[in-house]
Amino acid sequence: MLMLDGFSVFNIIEQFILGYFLTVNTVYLALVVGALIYVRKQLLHSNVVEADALFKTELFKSISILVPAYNEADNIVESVESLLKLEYPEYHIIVINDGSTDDTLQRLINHFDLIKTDIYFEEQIEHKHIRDTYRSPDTPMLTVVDKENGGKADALNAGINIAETDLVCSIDADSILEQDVLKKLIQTFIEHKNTVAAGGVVRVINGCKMKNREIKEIHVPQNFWGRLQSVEYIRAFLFGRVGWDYFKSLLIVSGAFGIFDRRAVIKVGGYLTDTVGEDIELIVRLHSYHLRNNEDYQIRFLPEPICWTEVPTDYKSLRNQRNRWHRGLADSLWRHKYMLFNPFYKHIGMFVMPFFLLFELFGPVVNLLSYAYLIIAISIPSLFNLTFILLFLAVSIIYGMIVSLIAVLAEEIAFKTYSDFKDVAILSLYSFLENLGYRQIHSWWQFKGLIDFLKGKKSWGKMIRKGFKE
Amino acid sequence: MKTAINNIDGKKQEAVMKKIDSYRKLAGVAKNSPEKGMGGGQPTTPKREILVVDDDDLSRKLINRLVSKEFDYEIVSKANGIEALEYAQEHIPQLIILDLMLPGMNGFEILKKIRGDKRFDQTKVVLVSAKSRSEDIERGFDLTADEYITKPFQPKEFAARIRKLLTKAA
Amino acid sequence: MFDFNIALQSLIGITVSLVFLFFFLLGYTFWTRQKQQYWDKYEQKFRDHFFSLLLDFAEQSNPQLSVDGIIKKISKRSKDYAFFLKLLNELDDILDGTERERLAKLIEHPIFTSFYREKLFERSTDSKIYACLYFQNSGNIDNRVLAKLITVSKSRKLKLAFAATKALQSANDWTVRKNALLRFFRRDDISELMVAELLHIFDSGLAEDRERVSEALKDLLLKEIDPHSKHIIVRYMGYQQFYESSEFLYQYLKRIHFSPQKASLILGLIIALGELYHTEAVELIKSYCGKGGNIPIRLAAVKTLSTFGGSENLTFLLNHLSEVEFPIRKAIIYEFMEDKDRITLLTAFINETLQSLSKIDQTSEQLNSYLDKILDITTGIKIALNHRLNAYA
Repeated sequence: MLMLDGFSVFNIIEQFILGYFLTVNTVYLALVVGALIYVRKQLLHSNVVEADALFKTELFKSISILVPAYNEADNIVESVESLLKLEYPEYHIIVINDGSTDDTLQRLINHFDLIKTDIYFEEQIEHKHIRDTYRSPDTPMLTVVDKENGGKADALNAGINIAETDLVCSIDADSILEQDVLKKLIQTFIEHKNTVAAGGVVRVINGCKMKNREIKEIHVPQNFWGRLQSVEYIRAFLFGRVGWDYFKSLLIVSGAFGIFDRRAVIKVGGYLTDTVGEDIELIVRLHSYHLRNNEDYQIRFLPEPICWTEVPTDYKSLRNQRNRWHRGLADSLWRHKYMLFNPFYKHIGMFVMPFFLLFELFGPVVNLLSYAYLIIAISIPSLFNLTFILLFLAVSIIYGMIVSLIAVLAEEIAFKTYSDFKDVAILSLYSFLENLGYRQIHSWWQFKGLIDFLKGKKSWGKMIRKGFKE
Repeated sequence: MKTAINNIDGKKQEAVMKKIDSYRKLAGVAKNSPEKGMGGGQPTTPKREILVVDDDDLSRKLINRLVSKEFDYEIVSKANGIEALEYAQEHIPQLIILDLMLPGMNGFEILKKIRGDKRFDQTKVVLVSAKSRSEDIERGFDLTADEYITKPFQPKEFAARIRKLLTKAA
Repeated sequence: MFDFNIALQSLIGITVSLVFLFFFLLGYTFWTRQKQQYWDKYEQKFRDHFFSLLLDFAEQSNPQLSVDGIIKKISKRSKDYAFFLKLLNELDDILDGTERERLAKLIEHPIFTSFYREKLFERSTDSKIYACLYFQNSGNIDNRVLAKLITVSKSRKLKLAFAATKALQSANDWTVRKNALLRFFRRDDISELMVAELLHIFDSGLAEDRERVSEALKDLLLKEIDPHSKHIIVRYMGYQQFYESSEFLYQYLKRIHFSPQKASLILGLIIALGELYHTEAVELIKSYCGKGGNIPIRLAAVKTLSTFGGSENLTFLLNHLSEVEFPIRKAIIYEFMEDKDRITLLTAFINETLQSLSKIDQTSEQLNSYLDKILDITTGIKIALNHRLNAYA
């Protein structure tokens, strides 16, 4: 009798594990296929909302690009130079030197002939003290702010205060933007009424060839970790977010690139400075604010590759980055836990937040426990159940591979980003590896992140950056 | 609008045939760029040089065609601002037709660099831009551009203005 | 619970499908890539060929070329039509004058019109959108197409309706164009940017159309459409200098009662009245300047009063300087940087204020905050003067 009970308990566990992986992968597969159809349609129809006449009026939206820079001396001049070449009738660039300890500021001053120029502005959202502001008569669209160190969120807040435009666009100092990124993104604002925030596809730049400040060739990274992340970015960034966007439930706009209605951000109080996940947190707060006050709003995603970012290529940086992201997610959900299952917050409270809680935040825990159980099942003879092991392999690993593979190739079909077919073939192979090994390690990093969050560790994992100078 | 990415598609296909040479062609680096031949009447012994800088393929081709039809000059075209400046510093062309919005380095910057360089004393610079904003024109002339033409333009007028400049130079 | 054989079979099954999928999809993507490359190359050749042909035609350097002659050179493939029209539209953007007009004749050629007419009647949204884009550029709209475009412009699909409304702006019949605009503006899912885009297409910019456009815009303002859309209409009238409508806008502003919904419309009206220099509105605009009011509206009022100028309005602004909130203070200071006389006025005002300090009770609590304000104002003036010196935009 007792034995039988024991068996049925294990049976239930096994069924749960299999059911879990089957559900998760099926949801992702549906998102990928749905996204592909949606993206194709979006691409075909994009010229309807191409703003032609609009730019001949004064009634388009002006944009400030906010570039927070902390010890970016190697990149900063090149970054700003290429930002100055975007296609848009009226935009500004605000570089915020966040108390760098290297010569980031001096290089900017020398290169752009900056002159100390005070700016008359109001501190609508709080941030650390601004020491000086600089401008240059030769480059009137550039403003450089020198402030005391306060982290990325703090720097962005300073930029939001100084900007005078309708929209602000926050990027990482090492992000490389497509030349027509602003023109494309404004389409989101044309198409959707009351858009308060929008993101776009962020891609991995490692491996791409730059020449004369233009991306000349797009290849997969040389590095093992870089390649895995390329697969991951395609799967998660493009198809995950397009899927969420379709249900008007976007919860994440990447910190590497996001565009916001400046007034809306000021209204909700700007970025939060004491969290590691300021990008997710702001989006959740925007949802929360507008739903609470019953104001019309949209947070959208443009399914086109528009921003390129350098990803960490060594194990340690990657581990720390993912640990930080997961802590950020945990922190954002925790701060806004009042929204969970609260019908007042509509689909965000009833569906999106719980989904993120169960599948994104606790997903790694379930994953790890499943693997642990698998190991136990293999090593303890009395529990050895080949049927379960085989099914587990099928629904978790192989099914996962199918999803990743379809994502990578769907992306290729939709955008044909890579310069060479060889790159596509390499990525297809890495979509197998991603599911066998990387996912498991990744779950472990995320799990550690969750533990660290519970322990209250909020410090930033540092990433060793390489400049992208030629 | 052309993006850097689109350019790559074009490059990709040619790479199948000739890997290195093809890119130079697209960027207009090669001396015998296919665009140069447009409109015929190519001199066998080129004496003087005109540099056309525009990142939009069609505009570049159009300007190429207009000047090569009218004038007995060697014509070289570039799409990237930095490349254009490097080329200009090496070859010191008589006339540079410059678009304002360029990848790498914009028209104003190139003009400034050229005006600060003694070797370009004899070089005429024409700015071409889609913008008709008066502050751009003003800034162009402040930086001593010899002529400012806005897109869209009438081919005859375009040629006439260039001719005026070149006769003045000669 | 689980049957071993079923488990084994599913594992094998799913692995096989993975392998199959891998080769199939890889092959498929390879094929699409090849296809794309082929068409890219084809398009490039096509463009090279027709580029010189079209320019020869546009410049009339080759008199043998006729409209039909060129059209005959295009094969009947729909890709060729698309490539050809794309090239034509791009040339249309960079060419001007008689050359451009000649090319326009090609765009309107019956062969394209009938091709896209058929597309318009197809079921697929894609085809309809392509057709709308064509008719927007060509303007060759017969009655059948017109009727269909009107139907399509009522579509629930926003983008399709937007495309059809844009296409209808190429219609010859003025009322059709106006009604299309009104119909679209009545929707509740349109963005303000769409309104601006449509207005610019609606307004040809030709002198002979001006009166009609002005009347139509006024008419739109009287219809029941979202105040945010009206805001854009009013702004458009302002910066396109529809002087003849300024009295109408003034009367319009008079009749509006403030509500948060209408804030942007009021703001638009105030800016427009400034741009149209309708100085009769001055008292009404001043009434929106009161303390505690909606800040964007007050900013607009400052701007407009400054545009009106004159010592009375300028004094009114100066008297507000020490009381108002920061953004308005800043706006007033920057308005006084416009010319030398204003700067003189401003400095005189500051001097006067400083002198009047001696008359105030030195011990009062208020003095401190008053001094802070003056300090802030002078800082603002210093910074603004500095900007003026360095001529930053």
